[in-house]
Amino acid sequence: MVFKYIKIKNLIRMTVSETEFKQIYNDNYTRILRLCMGYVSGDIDLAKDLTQEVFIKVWYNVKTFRKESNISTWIYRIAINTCLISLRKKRSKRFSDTLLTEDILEKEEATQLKEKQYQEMYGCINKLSATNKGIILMELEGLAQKEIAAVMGLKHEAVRTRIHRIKNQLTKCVNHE
Amino acid sequence: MNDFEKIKSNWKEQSFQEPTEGNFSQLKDSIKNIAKKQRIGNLVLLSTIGVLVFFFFYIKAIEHKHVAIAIGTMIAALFSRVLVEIFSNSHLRNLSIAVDTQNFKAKLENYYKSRMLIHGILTPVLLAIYSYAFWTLLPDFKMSLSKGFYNYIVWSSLGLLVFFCFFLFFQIRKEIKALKELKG
Repeated sequence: MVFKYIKIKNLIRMTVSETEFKQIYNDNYTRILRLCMGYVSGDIDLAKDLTQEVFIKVWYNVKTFRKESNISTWIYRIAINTCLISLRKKRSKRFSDTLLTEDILEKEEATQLKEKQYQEMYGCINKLSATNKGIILMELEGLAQKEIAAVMGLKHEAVRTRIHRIKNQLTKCVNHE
Repeated sequence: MNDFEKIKSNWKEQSFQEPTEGNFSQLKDSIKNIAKKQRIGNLVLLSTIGVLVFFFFYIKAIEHKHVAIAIGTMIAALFSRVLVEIFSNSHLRNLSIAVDTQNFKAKLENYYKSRMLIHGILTPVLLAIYSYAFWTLLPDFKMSLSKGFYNYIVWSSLGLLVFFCFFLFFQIRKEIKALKELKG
């Protein structure tokens, strides 16, 4: 992907064309949607709205991106901050509510089991604090701990310790221990 | 594969629809609509000011000192609240979203605290001022309006006041919940 740089008041700022922005959108949409799902207890409609909001902010802020980090890492930063703002908008509807429909009852047993697992997973993620939620969601997405530390503004060592603790917490919760 | 690795592999297996051309068009439309909505918002606010000023002169409020002061106070209380809301919303919109999360969280916590002050102190004070000014107008209303219409004004205002108090209570509860979740 080719980015254009323009010099404004001694700052290197990036501008992107619509095609380049579309590429950024397509490359990051699914993982940002997954991350947002984690913040809204699996409410797909709310997660889609949030994802849209994230990319609107990416569009407006792309000029401040200075290539000090990977663009995906930078987008994760915007996504988590956008999800933090959305705490006020969170609805009472839970992932489990969307599952308890007649359609689901007709689904195959394996699919039902999988969705039950997702439901439990979202329930357990929802019990974490806002910061821990962000850390574990990025860990689940496979981001390097160094990148997670950069997004969160924490020291690498602190992130490593937290991840270890949250992993245990999450595993225990999912296994009903 | 340990338990967490299983959770991780389950996480990545979630199937979501890939972004479509339609999703992207929607996004572009939203970006275009933001500027449009801001223009409409400003227009609505200016029209409201215009209507109130027109009403002020239409009822010749200026000729009756007491009525002029009461209506002027009500308008001032209303507009102070509207201006605070505009300022507060623009403050939230202008928070630098691309900073690291700890930094952003601190700014957001300050924002929620300011919202609690707005809902918990400023709004009740302005509401009390507004209600007092309205209450001082009641004898004038009683003299110039029919009994039925006067009763309607009194009871509907009381109803609105109760509704607004509940609304404030729920708003404060929402801000407290968000603040707690952010700090947790």
